[in-house]
Amino acid sequence: MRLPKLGIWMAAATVGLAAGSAAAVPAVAATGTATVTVVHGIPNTPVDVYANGKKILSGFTFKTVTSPLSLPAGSYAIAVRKAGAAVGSAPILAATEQVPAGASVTIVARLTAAGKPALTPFVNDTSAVGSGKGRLVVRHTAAAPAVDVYAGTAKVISGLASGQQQALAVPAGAVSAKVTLAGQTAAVLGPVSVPVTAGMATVVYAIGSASGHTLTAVTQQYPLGGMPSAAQAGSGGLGADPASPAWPFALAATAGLLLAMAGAAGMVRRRRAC
Amino acid sequence: MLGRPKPARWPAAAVITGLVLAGAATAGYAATRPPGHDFGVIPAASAAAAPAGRAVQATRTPATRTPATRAGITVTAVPVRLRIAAIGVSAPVVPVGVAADGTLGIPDSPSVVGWWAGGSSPGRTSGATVLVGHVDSSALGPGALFRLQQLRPGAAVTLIAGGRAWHYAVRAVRAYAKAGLPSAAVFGQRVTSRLVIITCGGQFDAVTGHYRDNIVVYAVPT
Repeated sequence: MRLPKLGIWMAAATVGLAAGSAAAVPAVAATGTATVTVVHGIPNTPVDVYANGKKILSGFTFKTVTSPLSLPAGSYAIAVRKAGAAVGSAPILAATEQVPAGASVTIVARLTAAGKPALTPFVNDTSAVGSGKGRLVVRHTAAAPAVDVYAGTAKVISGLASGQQQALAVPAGAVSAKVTLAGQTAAVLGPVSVPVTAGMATVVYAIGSASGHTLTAVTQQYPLGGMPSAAQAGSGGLGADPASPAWPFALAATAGLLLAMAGAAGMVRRRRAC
Repeated sequence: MLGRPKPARWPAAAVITGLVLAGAATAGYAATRPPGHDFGVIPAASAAAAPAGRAVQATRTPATRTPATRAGITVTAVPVRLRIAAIGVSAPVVPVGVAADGTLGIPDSPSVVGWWAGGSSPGRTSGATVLVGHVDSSALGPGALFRLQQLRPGAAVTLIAGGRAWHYAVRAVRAYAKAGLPSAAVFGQRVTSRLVIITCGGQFDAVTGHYRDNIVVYAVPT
């Protein structure tokens, strides 16, 4: 099958980011490297993932999110094969892509709305949000119709179609998230408690298949912001240096000096009296 | 008639007593003044052939069975626990990011340590792995890194990450006024592999509810 080119997706998303927000902060990653996370969203299909002919993930199963992978920027031929399949066998999914330096990208192996396997890349927006807030991102990567997303009882995202994402800045804390089919009220997913951490993005992926009754959610976290400039790590004062009361010592020293001066004066006077 | 009065000894005694008193007061002040917080030598930004860290298999199962490096791809060893025996620390570690004002995030719980996920991670040959933890909290008391400023060069630090234990040795301890925090030196990633642990310390400003200083510990892989 023909797959969307990762490079095109990323170029489009990068242009969108640059145009949409001057505050988009480049990743701090060392020059020439990119960060890639892989999400497995295809039910009942353990796979091996290859990059440039080398196996980088083996026995990768549904609902798994990798740790971030750090890799040199460049061109990668990605191939996804059934777990244990020979290196030379026909892949389930394949794509050759450019991964730009400094990018943070998540690649989701998923089912499209029509239920076909696909590799869908997302560029992770690492721009900072306000103090005490995090970014909640919802990515619809399941074989399911468009959905609405609720945070508590409030509808925060409407009509999100498979393959799309939406992000919002929210105060840090636990968000009770619920997903319904667009325009309906019965939950197809959740409610689940999603932890939102200040300075971090929490990405919720809807994966699996609604018709196959495998619809579920997995999460990924990635850091926001550029280089830190400060850290506030205490508010109690318990670990503070002692207040160092200098005055008793100064008083004693002054008294001592005065006494010494008086003594010296007395000695001088005596000498004169002689 | 009595002869000349015996020469009084009091002036000399007064001089001696006075000088002793003044000296004792000065010494006493010096002895009770807060100690300095700067010890050791900060590792050079780049040193030849620095080890990338010694990995020791731990009992914990890795989150994924991914090999550490294949096809030039490195799996981030995400820190999950910090251990510093010298000051009785064994604390869970979670990832943190940076707010729009440049402040490094910190876990809500003072007993949890944050790992700056935008920086380096154990096992990489370059970059600073940055941890940040509370010295204390007004609501909950002492934090995980309450005794960080008692660390001295040579102390052992262990990070559990990617299912392994990564060992470091403290090289330097510094106190920086927050206003003058050398952020490029503390957070900069163009350095040979190092571990940087940050908390607060120094004098406490009860008005702002913040400490004056950041205490920064620099360690290198062993």
